[in-house]
Amino acid sequence: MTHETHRPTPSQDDLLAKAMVNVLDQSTDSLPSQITARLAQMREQALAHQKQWQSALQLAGQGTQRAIGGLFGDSFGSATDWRRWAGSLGALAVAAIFMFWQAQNQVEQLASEDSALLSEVLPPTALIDKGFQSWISSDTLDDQQ
Amino acid sequence: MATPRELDAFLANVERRAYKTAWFAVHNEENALDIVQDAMLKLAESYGDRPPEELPALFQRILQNTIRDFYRRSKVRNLWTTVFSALGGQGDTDDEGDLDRIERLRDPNSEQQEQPDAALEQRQMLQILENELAKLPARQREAFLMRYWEGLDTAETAEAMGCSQGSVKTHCSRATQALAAALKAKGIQL
Repeated sequence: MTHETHRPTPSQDDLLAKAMVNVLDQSTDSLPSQITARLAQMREQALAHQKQWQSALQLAGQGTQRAIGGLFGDSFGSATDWRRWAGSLGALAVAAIFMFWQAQNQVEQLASEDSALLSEVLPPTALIDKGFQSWISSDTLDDQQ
Repeated sequence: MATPRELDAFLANVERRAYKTAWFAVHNEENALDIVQDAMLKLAESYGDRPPEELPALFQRILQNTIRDFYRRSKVRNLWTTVFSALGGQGDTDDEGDLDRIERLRDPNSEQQEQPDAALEQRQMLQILENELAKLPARQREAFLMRYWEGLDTAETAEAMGCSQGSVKTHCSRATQALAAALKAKGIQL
């Protein structure tokens, strides 16, 4: 209990009041056991609802969000940012699909060229022979004339 | 920020006086317990993260507000009871309440006779003091209990009551004088 007892010059009222609260203190000492038990139960209940623990959970949540924010930007987390992030991810996905499709085309083109070369009667080494190439080009010029 | 242990210690220290304070205001055991429970929960839920030194004034403010809320609800309930009693011609509830109150004020404890004279005198003084406290105007009682029983200073009491420090001093002085006069009238000198 924290009765005020350190006043330098207590007034008559203060002294009277102090005497009265000393008497009142006895009333709390002699409370029936069922009431003190109920009070203890209420205290337990109140402690279970202490704000501190809810705050601790919120702080943990905020900490995680801040950590993610550190990686992706401080404004990560708001609804607007989520839309922006979704848009960016969509654009990235489209670009990835386009690049994949282009690579596939290139591979298919090379494969078709290779198969054409391999199915030809002419051996592939003939195509890199300079004499054969000049003969082909002169032959083509003759045909045009 | 108050730790659970600090909050527990604070509530354990204040709960009995809080119960008595509520009892002085509402004169009913169950209602007084309900008020204290509400006040404890409100303190823990809304201010459980405050520093321990702020808890006494906050708790007193919550307790007094909860008592006022109880008065307000009772007023509305009594209004409807009066209306229905007038319609139905049955007014037993209030009479029972009054009888209970008189019984409580009388309430001679059976153990009293076994106590020595000094203890009996002390018990009677306590009984008279409690009855006189219950009769005080609400604001005077609030100021007196917060200032002297809870040990809040004038500024904290004023903040908890939502009034000036001058008003607190006036309420405290009037309450003390009224209690002293009532005790003196019954032959008790402090």
